[in-house]
Amino acid sequence: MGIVTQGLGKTVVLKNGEPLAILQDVSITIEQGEMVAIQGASGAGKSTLLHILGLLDTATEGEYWLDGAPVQHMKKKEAARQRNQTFGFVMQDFALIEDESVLDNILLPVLLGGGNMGKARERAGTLLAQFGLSDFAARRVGYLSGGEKQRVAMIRALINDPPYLLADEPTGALDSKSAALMMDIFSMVRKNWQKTIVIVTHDAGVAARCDRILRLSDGRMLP
Amino acid sequence: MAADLYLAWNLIVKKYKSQALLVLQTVLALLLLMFLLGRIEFLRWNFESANAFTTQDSYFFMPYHFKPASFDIMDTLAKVYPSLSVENGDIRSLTLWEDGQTPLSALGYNDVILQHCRLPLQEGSWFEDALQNGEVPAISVTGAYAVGDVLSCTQNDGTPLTLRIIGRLDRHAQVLAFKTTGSANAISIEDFLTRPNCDLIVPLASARFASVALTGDDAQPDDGLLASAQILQIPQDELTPQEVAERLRSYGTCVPLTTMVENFRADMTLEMTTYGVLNLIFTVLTLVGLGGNNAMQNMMNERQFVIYYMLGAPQKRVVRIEVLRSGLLLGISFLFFVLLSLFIPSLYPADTHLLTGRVYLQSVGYLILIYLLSSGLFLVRLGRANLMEAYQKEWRE
Repeated sequence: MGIVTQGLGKTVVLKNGEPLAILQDVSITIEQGEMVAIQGASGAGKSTLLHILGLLDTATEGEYWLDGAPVQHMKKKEAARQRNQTFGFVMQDFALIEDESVLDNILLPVLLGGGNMGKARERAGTLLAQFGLSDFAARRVGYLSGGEKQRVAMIRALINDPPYLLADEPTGALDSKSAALMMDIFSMVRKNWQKTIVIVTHDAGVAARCDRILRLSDGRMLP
Repeated sequence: MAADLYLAWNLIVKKYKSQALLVLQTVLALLLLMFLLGRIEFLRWNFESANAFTTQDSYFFMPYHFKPASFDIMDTLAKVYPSLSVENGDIRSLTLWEDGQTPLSALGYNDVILQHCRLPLQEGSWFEDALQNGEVPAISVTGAYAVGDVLSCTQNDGTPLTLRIIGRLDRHAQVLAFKTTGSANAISIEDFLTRPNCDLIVPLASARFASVALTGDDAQPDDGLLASAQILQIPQDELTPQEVAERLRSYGTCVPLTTMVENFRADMTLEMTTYGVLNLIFTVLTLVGLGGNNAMQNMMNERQFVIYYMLGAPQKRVVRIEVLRSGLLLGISFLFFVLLSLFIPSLYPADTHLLTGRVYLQSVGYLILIYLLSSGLFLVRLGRANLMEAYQKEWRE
């Protein structure tokens, strides 16, 4: 089933009262198990599209179906639940809480979703080992390198075993070596755990490692 | 809800240094607010206590301290106004012995005082009618006795007395007692209103009902400056207050009780207004200091709230977590304040401050208001704004 949008648009009203169309007539289909890149220049509307797909924001026009169910007019509480259970997010600046430990960051989605913390701790331990961060559970996130932080963000995104991973410039703050490692991780996650992955990027190298590239320009999808 | 409390608590613990400063500011604000509000409450009760005095045609007269040995006050007053009704107010400090063993301190008021000063009661009635079986009516001051209780007592010389409690004094009322300080030329009701320091009020040598007779050590009046004062009854349609003052000018200070009450009320009103203004200034300063710090905490926490939203918390829940954080901080601060006030009882002297339940509630109410004012906009923004837009602008770029 996957993600389907039809004529999706997002218009905001500026402070001077003028409307600004950030997205216009975006119609895409992302099949389950695909790894898709959304590529475009800065200001093209990539992040806005990703936010709408991840129910972090709402479109002002068009329709959006997630696994066959329309979600465009979903209630806020239900949208929050979906964010917690259906999506995992990996952001450019990692979106981690620097004062907290690696483990506390990873378990945050479970805490917010009311899940089983005991089982989650076990799963977190397993994922930390798989991602080469076994000894990092008690460390404060603020003391980690960029690559380590992004791996922690990935583990957090996977802790509730969501079917979809949404990443917004996941390699933007990393050096080339860490960026390459990150993309290896994405490929491994998609292959071994059958996740559907959507990566927003302006980096052609990152986009090239995906199954498909959707190109966005000035809020419109290029054919 | 448990998760939200945990997250709110975590927000406090992880940034404990800045939160500790906020708690300290809040405790100091509470201490000062209670000081100001406690003083206003004390003054308000003073203001109300003037209602105790019946003032119609009554004058408070105090002869000058230095007078010739031949001076006779009654002769003198009779010359001033032949039909003058002069009543001596008499107040004595007494010790009674309950069951012959437990000492009870009592204030004895004679009929003049009982008639002209009706103190506010929480329960029961003031001294009205004689009781049966020679029982002496008494007012419980501390509330240790209930209306209807009967006490078997003895005086210092062993004379037995049976007291029946007919009323309980209001918790915050002041009592009439001649103080040993003050100026002979400046008479105010404040000079003889004081915080209670006795167990009972009893009638003294009363012609109206069974009372405590003066015996032994109690026979001597208090050696206070006002102990020789009199209350004069002169109908105003016979002599005006100005005429009375003029006639008695050579012998002592004479003030209509009405004037004393009005002056007292005016003084209390002025002082209440002053403290009210101070309270307002202090509230504004607290808003700037405490509110500013709180607003800074909000800004520091905003990114974390956006992360909560991203990971599955609806915006309303994010607002709730912030409200819980503020509530926990207020609760911790109040706890510190209560501990402090328990261990430092002299913080608010009972003879200048009155801390009622209302004062506590007002103080906490003020603080909640300050927190709301400093956090209000933030909470509204958290609940309504596009958080991801803010995230993009402030932390991503």
